[in-house]
Amino acid sequence: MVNEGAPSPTRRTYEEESAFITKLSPYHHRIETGFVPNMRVPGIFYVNGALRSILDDELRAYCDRGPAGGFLPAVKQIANVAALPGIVRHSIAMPDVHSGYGFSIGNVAAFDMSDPEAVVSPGGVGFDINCGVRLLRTNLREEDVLGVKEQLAQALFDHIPVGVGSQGIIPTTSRDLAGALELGMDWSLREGYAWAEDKEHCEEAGRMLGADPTRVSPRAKKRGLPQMGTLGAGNHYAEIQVVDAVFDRAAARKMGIDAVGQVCVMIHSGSRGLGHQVATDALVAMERAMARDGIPVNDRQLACARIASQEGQDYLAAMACAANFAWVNRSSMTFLCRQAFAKMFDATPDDLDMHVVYDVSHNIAKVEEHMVDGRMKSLLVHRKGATRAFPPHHPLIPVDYQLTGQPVLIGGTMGTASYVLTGTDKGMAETWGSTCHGAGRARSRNAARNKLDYQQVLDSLKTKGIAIRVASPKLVMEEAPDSYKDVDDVIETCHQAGISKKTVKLRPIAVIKG
Amino acid sequence: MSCIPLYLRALKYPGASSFPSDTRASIEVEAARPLVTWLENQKIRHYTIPQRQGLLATSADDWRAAYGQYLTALECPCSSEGLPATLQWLCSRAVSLEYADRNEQLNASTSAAVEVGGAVSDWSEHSLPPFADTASPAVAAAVMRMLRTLHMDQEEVTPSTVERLSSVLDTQVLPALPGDEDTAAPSGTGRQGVSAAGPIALLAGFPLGFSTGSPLSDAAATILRMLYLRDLRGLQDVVDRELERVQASTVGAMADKAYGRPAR
Repeated sequence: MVNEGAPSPTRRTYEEESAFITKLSPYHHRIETGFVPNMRVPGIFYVNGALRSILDDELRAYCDRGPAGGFLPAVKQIANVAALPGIVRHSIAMPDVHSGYGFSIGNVAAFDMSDPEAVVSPGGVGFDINCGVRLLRTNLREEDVLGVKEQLAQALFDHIPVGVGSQGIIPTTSRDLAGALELGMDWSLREGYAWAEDKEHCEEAGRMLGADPTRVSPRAKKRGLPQMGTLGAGNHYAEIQVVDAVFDRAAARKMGIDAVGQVCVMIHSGSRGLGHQVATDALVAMERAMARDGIPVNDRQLACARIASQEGQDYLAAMACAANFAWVNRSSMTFLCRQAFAKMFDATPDDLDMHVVYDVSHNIAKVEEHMVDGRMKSLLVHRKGATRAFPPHHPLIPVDYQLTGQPVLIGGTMGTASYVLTGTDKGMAETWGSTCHGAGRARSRNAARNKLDYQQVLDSLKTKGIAIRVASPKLVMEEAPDSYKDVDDVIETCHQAGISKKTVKLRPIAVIKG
Repeated sequence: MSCIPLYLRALKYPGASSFPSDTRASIEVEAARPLVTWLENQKIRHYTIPQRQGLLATSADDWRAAYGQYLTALECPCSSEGLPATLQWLCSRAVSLEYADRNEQLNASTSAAVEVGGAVSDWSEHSLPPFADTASPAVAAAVMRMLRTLHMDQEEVTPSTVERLSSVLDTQVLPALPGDEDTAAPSGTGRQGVSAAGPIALLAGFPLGFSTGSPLSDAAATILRMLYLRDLRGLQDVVDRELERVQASTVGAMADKAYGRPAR
């Protein structure tokens, strides 16, 4: 139910709106209650000066043109989430925050599982459920691959199906799909597409136990069936990267990253059409539930349902299936990457030391235990375009990373640097153990299409010595570095704010895109 | 200026450090004899073994005669000059032969050093790769011993292995060595003659998650935590091996045909 009963604020000027935003430090800011109607908690966003100016420009444009068309400015969306029932402490946004459907992308919000009014919202997870990043290491050095960079890029392009509507080459039947939805990476392991150690280095060990394939619609299954092991399009990619800098040698070494010049492979992908359909189905069901239960929201896009309601439980079970599908998807592509490298270098993937460094999810909702006012509480933490970043000694991170903190994989934009961070205690205390997920879009896809030329984008990558294979060249400008914020600014803000710690910087030498 | 000390170090002559360093002065036969014998036996090998007997002569005159014949046999261009000049030429001959035998390996080591160390004028001990000469059996054996000691499983020694080893030594082993007196722990807190400051400083790099208020107790807790994690790792390895055993019987037939099995 959209908040029709709430007092409709008179239209404020930009200066009046800005008065609600308090700078707490050079790296974080608070949105005071009253910025939008019915805020239950303040909003907090982490940005430095350069990133703050992007948000300010967006808010200024909104104040000038009024609420007509398009997404609301990110700061308004952060505040609207702060008005949702059951939200705890803050609505939090990461430095790469930008407007999205309902929730801004980069928003983290936790809801109290013991509060009967608390909600779950598909908009807080995103349409690409369990979109995430996986990093594989190798024992190859840059000089080993430079001479065969083009061939290697082609081999990856040949092995991994890419592009809109691409179909998988991992053979899948309806029965396989049901198994994958329920078992996640356990299915991949059973079928021989994953190594036992891969599971260790995945969030949730690559399987959400609450998955119930009967909660996934036939339409979603139909969309997912042919897409197993496919990269997809949009901002998804597989990149061959080399280590450009190591900031924390001890932590990097625990990840098997020993030196500058080491070759790694990064895979950024999600749950494809299946996840999108699960989210779409849930939004329809939740609009009905909101009307039935009288759940007040500021924005129609914030469709949600009480966690304990049938719609809420159905969504969580279906979301878990989509999350499992995404892990199987990334595992299948890992398998294909290993095969491509093995053929190219005439060595087994084992001999090439192609272990999974880690696999993170940046579009997901999970039940987690967190300290709230000195007491441990169960919270449903929504991370949309934000990455879990648990600190050292947390029981849910693998034994290999107990002393360093959870690796956090931040994929850059096409042709720019990517980073590995680690979780910190400060992040656990302030952001529910969360940090950024990428560069964050600075220009909408439409604006990018209108302002950039795809041939220029491709030429620019070639100038940088980056081999590129693209299934849909005309979509490339949507993902051009110019369409995004500066990833270095985003990472530096997270590091300086202490919510995660810089560990390794990677630069791409070959990009495979949909 | 004589290059003999440099050559002797390069050739790894066992008596290099005790060989007269000021070779502008005359060199006694007693010092020259073992060097010439070693060079011929180990590096030059111009004579057959029976022919080398003359170079072992104990009488100075006999040895000088044999040495003269040896230089003539080698076509030494400076055989009429004194011992310093002829010994230097002999050493340079040995170095050139050594290079002829191992030029690929030595060139590779030099290239690696140049690549890592930048301009030659900027070279310092720290800027060069450690143990660049990994193809040398002696270096490989020594590195392998260190790898075993540090529980770093490796089957062969490569430059990247050495880099990993160097990284482990730098970050884990060397910081744990005794610090200087200024940073030493209170007396009685470390083993005899070993300060606890090094290990404590090293352990401080790994967050414990809580503090007892005492650095030594925190260090002990960190060590216990590390030992516990080592046990957990061992347990996880057992689990992984069991999963692989099960996987061997469940792996999909299609995966077999298309890509070979197992996925490894």
